[in-house]
Amino acid sequence: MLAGVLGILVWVVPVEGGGQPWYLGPALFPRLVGLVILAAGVACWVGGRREESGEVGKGRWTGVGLVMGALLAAPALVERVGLTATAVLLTGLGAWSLGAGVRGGLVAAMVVGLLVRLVFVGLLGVGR
Amino acid sequence: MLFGAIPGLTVTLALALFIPVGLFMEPGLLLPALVGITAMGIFASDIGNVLVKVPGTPASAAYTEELYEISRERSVAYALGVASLPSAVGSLIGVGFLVGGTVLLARLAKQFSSFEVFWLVLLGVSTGVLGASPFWKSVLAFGVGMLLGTVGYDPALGMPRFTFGRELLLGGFDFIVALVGLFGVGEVLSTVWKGTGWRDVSVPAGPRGNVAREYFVETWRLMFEKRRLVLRSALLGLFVGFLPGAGSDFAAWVCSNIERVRGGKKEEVALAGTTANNASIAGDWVPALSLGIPGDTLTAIILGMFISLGITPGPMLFERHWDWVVNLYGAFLVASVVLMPLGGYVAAYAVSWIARVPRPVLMSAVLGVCVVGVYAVNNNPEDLYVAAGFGALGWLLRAGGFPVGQVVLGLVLGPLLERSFLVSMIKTRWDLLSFFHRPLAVGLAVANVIVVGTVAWYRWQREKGNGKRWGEREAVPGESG
Repeated sequence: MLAGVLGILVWVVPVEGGGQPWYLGPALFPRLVGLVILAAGVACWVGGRREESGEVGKGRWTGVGLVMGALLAAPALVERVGLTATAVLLTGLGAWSLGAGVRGGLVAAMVVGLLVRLVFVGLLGVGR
Repeated sequence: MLFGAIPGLTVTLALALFIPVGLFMEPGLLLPALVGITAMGIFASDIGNVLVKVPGTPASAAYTEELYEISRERSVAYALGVASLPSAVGSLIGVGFLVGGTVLLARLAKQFSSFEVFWLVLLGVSTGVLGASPFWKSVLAFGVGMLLGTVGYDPALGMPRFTFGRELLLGGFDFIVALVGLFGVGEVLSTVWKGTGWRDVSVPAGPRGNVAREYFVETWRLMFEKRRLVLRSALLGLFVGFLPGAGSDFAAWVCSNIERVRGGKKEEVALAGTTANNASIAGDWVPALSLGIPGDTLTAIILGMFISLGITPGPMLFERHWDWVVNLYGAFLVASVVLMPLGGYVAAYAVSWIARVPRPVLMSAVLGVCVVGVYAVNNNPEDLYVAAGFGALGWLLRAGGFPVGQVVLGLVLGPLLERSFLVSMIKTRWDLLSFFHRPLAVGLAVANVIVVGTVAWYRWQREKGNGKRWGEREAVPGESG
């Protein structure tokens, strides 16, 4: 499905060509690659029908959703609470999603917090 | 070494996490650090083989059974010796070739025009696609990487593409952000998705008997007895590594499979694989340094980082920054002669500790470091959205069994292929035959046909036979190329 969406998208999204037809301009390469992706997607789909279904649908949607949500909220968090706190929060959330337990999560969060504070912020000046 | 040794963590992940720190280092210091991480990580991936029969990289999956059996039948120290000392010898032979090969090739590369570059990059693309399995999944992942590489200004005419009016995308995706997203965030998401599952693995108690004797003396004796095999595997590994797109996993599979077909003992299969594995690392660096064309995912990552730092690999690197190149050679030498043998010896004592680091704790720390690493690249919070997007892509690709490393190769090789093709076409007013006008270009076109034909034939032969295919390997947890 990803291949289908990408393959069609590169033909639909307009690309500025500086007055040239698409096959002589910047749209040529992405559209050729789009065709290759589409062909490969069809071949994978045909091949996949003979094999057992993939892993998608069998995993932990909640955990993945939580981590993705936290990542998408991270830019806003960095601006409000700072880099170190964001990293610590995400580490803690990651530990919880991964089932590391309270002690494991605290250890991981503390190590990351110290690393960020001492090395990234203190030594390298990130986020200042 | 820690990332190589722990099943599920990879050298690629170690590089991805190191790069945000590396951006703040002097290039002269950064290059040896990258070499150290690569060489030690590849070697350390054998530690997982020895301990729990779980390879750390696709390359070390080529001889998992044999190395694990050696550790069970003889001792952990001996198996680690078989993994590390041939690695050191293979790497040392590779360094010799690296020094001579890069200088000679860089001289030759000065005569290259866009036509020759096109053929070389095409060689990288086709062998890169053929070098991973399954074939169509490899093509698709490679294509996705190439497509992502087209975002931003096009390399020939300078027109913006697929930016959707966002200033952030005008320069294309930041390579390092993409990398941390694909390998770091993607790996964490994948682990959350599957659950960790390494708690039931039995780990040997630790070293028994005389470790130094088993590790050094007995392994050297074996290597001396099989010196021809070691030399042959090192040379073959070097050659495979030298081919753009064919990396250390291809080298390890080819050499260990040859020994299997010849009916070799498990020590011989493991010797061939470990020697070729590390020799090919040096071989990978030859086209990367002298032509700017990556040999595998790891060199693709490092080249991407060079470009981010404004360093252009290729002949000019040797003229302008010869001191960096010398540093790099030195780092390879130190890694081969000192770090690998010493690392393996330390690992022989630390085995039981290394494999007991709780993976959920490590992976959660990886997530935190990824967030900081991505932010550190440009001090731009919006990069975190890009990393999240690439992370989701990495997770989906892993879940579908696609080789994630191919995306990185596509991301690096795509713009190179497009630039060389379009520049050639604009120069000759779209005369496609111009790719065959220069003798050097014709030579490279023929080389393309021969190399791709040989790889495709070999692949077809393997898939036709009943034996294990070189590309069809055991599942490597967290495999990232």
